Amino acid sequence: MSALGNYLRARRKQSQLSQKELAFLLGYKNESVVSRLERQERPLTFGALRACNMIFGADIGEMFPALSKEADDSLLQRIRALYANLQASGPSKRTEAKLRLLHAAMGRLAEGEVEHEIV
Amino acid sequence: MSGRHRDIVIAIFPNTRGFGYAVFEGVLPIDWGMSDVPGVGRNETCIRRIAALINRYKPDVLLLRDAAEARGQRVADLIRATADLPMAPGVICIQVSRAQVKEAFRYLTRPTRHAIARAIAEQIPFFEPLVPPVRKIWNSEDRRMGLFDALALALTYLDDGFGAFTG
Repeated sequence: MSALGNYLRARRKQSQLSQKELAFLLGYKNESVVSRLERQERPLTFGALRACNMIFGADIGEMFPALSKEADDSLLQRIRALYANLQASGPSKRTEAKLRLLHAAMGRLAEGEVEHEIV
Repeated sequence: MSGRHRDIVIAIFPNTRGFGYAVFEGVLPIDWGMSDVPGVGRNETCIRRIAALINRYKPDVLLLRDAAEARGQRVADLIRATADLPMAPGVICIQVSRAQVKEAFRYLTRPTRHAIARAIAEQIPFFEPLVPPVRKIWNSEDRRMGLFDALALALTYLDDGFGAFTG
């Protein structure tokens, strides 16, 4: 896991963009929003995440490791809870399909965790 | 932290304008800049800004230029005050001398500050647009040189492979 929560500032500076320019690209009027995003004092919207992905060509998980890990951990908890509920309910073809889906999702999350460790 | 390759290293190079800084995570630069501080109470403002940087990045290593080599008393005082800032346990504070920087860039025929800045930009291309032009003797120093001075401290430490500085 990275020591830093997000790499937005590093990516912006590597690209020679000012906070004002990045604010414009992300659709904000005020450059102070970018400063707050860089300091993790403001939550990122889907639009901003998508824009960062497109502008910098960087993986969201790599750029925002803390946010990504938080979302993954929370999703994993919910998947496990639903998985346990479904297992407790009687077996059926529909339940089996759902369990397969959740199992695959848990696998993808575990892979993501390994990638976070490697990055 | 999983190991030293992820250590956060902050290099601070106080000068007559304020200070240049560079933050590395392992060998990757993650933040850098030049903080200009004009007017009276410069050192207090510089210390406040440096403390904010330290608080933000929580470094494992803090690099400073050697206080003994600072030309002015104010800059020497600033370096000493920075070294005395309260830091988390385990943070290593190292003063890097000009000779150590020159040693790290010994492959350059003439390791002048400008030649070192050019060498850094060759190593890390996104610094290329920031390299100041060669200074004429009648011009004052470009403010961006403070940034390259700080980068040179960091790369001197990193080039050393975490060896001689920390034993």
